[in-house]
Amino acid sequence: MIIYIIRRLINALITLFVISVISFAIIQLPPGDFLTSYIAQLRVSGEDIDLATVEALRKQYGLDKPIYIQYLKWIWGILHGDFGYSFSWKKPVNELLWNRLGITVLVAVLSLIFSWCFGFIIGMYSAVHPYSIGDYLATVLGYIGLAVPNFLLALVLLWGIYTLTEENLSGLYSIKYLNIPMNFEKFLDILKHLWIPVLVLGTSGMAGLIRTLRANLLDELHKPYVEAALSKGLPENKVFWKYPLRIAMIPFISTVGWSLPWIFSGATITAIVLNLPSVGPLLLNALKNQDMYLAGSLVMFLSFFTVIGTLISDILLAWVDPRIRFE
Amino acid sequence: MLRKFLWGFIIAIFVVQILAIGLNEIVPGEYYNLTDYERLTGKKITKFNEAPMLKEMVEKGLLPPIEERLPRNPVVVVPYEDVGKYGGTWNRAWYGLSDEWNAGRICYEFMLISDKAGKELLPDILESLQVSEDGREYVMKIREGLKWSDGEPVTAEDVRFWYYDVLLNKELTPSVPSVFQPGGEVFSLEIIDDYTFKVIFKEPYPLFPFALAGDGGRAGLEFVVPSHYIKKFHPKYVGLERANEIAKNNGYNTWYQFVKDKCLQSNSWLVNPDLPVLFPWKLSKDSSERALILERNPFYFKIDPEGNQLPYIDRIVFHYVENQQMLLMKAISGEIDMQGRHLTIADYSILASNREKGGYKIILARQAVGSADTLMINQNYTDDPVIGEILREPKFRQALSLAVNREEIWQLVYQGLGEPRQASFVKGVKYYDPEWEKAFAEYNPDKANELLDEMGLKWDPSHSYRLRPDGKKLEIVIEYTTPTQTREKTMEMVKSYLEKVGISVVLKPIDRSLYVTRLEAGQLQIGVWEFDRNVDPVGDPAHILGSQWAPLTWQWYNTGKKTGMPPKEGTDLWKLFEIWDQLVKEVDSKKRDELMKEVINLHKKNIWMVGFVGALPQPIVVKNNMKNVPQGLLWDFPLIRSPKNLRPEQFYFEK
Repeated sequence: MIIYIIRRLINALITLFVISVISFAIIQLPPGDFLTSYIAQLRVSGEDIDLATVEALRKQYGLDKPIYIQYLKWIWGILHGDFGYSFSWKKPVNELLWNRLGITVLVAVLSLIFSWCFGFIIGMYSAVHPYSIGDYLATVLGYIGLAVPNFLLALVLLWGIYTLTEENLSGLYSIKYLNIPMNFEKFLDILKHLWIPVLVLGTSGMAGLIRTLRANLLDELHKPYVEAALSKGLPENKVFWKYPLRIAMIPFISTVGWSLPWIFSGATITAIVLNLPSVGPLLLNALKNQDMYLAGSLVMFLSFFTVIGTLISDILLAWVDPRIRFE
Repeated sequence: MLRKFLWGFIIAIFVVQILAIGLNEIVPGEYYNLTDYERLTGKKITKFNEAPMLKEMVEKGLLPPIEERLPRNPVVVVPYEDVGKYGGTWNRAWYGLSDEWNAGRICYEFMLISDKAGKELLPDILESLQVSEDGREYVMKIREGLKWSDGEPVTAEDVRFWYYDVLLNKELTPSVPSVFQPGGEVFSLEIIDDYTFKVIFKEPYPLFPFALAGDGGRAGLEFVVPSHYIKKFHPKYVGLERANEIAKNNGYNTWYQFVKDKCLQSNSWLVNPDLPVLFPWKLSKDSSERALILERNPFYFKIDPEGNQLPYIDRIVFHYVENQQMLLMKAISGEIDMQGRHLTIADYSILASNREKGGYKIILARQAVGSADTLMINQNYTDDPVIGEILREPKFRQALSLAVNREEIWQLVYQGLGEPRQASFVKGVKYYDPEWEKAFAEYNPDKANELLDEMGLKWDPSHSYRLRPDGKKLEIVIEYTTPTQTREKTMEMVKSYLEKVGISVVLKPIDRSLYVTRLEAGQLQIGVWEFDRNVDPVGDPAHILGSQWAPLTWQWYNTGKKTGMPPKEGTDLWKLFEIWDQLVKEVDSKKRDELMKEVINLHKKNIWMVGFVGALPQPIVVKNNMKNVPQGLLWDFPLIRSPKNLRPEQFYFEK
């Protein structure tokens, strides 16, 4: 088992390195650089900037150097814990990341818990009571969750709440709590805002889980070994928890790895719609502005989570399903 | 000393005040030197007053009394409605640091400032400016007793430091901006006394005052910089070793990167709360990524007619939003107190229907935009020589213009807001020309067909499209970015009109930065941009000299005729630059106006830019309790820098 984990870890490191090279190259692919898009942005809002100034800035930020030198400089910094400098925010990337990571993780974990709890319970229920009214209800709910794009659901919720209560629940808290240290009232206000992203992100995850668990369980429940166990007089509950459920959960576990990066990146549009200060919108803007060190670092982060997630699910799988350990 | 005095005396004799600096009547929303105000009204302002929060600080001994904080001759701002009350927080929304001008257009002070319509220049940081008859020498006087936001005095030392240690420092200024070196030579500086200095150019430079009024988007970072602060990081004053050490400790490789980022860039004041400024509001230490907070500058140099120090409003909070929809959401739910930036006429109906709920009103300004979506027909296009020739033929451009039904676009896309018009200067600006507004702007497809036939662009046998001289199908690519929802719709309509006269069109929406890259390489056939900046074509000629429709020639002109593509001799484009070369050196403003007429005549005939609908209203959301926000003014950049021409420092909240 330990050798298995070590082998996985080495693979993960190599993958991360390759990803860093590729992502840095991809960010560089569109013509121009941060300054071109900066000028473009200024022009759109009616401002202009002297061309000589641009050249000077380009030199100052090292954008006149060949890409591999820029890459080496960046990766060297990362190895020393320095992620480089964000052009568009005029701040070290570090600061930006840590500022936003907290809220991102909070929303991610809450919606993961939400989707897993409900997904699991509803999935089991529909498998044990197939074609019942409850099952149909769950199915309909699941399809809606899958079919409605997250951002749309977020928009509808926001707009609905606004027209009903005249309250704008976007963002993390109301503007009057800005720069006020955390207290009970602010905490309540945050809860008032937080349930929207958790619900929106949670439902779509939940829908997938319900379908997977139901299908797998239905398959397993009627396999001969279950019937044999039942006919030998084992209590129904014991059989269900010990065997079919465990096997039905394999695909469940093998996708755990994806839910980590999904929550970080997949939540981007929702976060933009909801004006949430999480990592997703930061990444989108960094890519749009070719703010390479920031974009590169974020892509690295996402890849890191994917790799970690896959590692976790591999280990879990090996634990749940002994066949894998001896592969 | 005596020699200096004599010098000053000689200048005083020869210098003639040819610029109409200062107004001769009292107009709401304008700026007056206290002395001028007293002269014009016969009223004396002897007692000064200040915000309660500042009064408290004075009583505790944290601040000098108001009389010592104001310059000897402060600026009087005549409020639009009435004298205001102190206090309140002004909430706005912004897109983060890349949206720096959201704050800049409210706060920046320059050496001179434009009046609200962009017709005259008024004193600002400078108390007076005198120009020699030949337009080469400028004597400028800073307000005596003017203070930085940290209480340090502003003196000629700040000017000297800027000139020798910033402008002429190769590391801080690798290349001197073109506005400071007309004809390729940097001006020379002469310090006359503690508050007065003289700037001398090799050639006449009558447009220099426009540069002093912050033209071209620069941020008022010239002539006076807080030298007492920057000297702490400058190797000339602390030694190279120490300067580099400070930079390293702050995460920079070199001292000049650090100094530039923290002190000398247009957004430095939004990232460095310690940087002294002369603005009504300055960065607060409470700012964060989620919200940028500006607080009042206790040393601000403007007062109202009752002697109350401005600004009235205590602080401005810029809330970070991810996108325009979110900004709109904030506006309609009443979370924005006053803002026009990032709102367009397309948002008008949703803004209007939520007025009561959100507790705001919508006031309208007039955008100085000759045409919101303007075909910029590239005169430098060479990738396909046949198309290049066609684009350079005036008849082709006239035909394009005649083939489009502006009325229909106006009604369908803009719901009748704004005006259908040719890309030309708007009403209310100095060089408005009604003939240009209508030039080739009627809908006349027959005439368009006639012009195209004259060019020898024959129809194909099935009469569905025209053929190029080399026999291929005539197809033009129009590339554009999509900043507004209206542009896409307009372009679809334009395409269908052009196809009716046989010009087949490929529409290509592309990303902004790709657009700029392709534009600057001269690779666009026809680009689409806004024809804005109508208020100040002389000070900011980018559009009329082809930055969008002859980008390589514009580059040639801008780089002192070194790189880029010079215009072919004898062409109208060549004539345009001939006239312009005269115009920028012309000291007599009447003659300058005549030359400007010639420029307009060239445009009228050539239609390098084809416009459709312009002079659109700019919606501004204003909370019901916010006062002194005027209606119906021009909205533009760079000269009047809206909303600066609405005079934000005299806005106030009625409780």
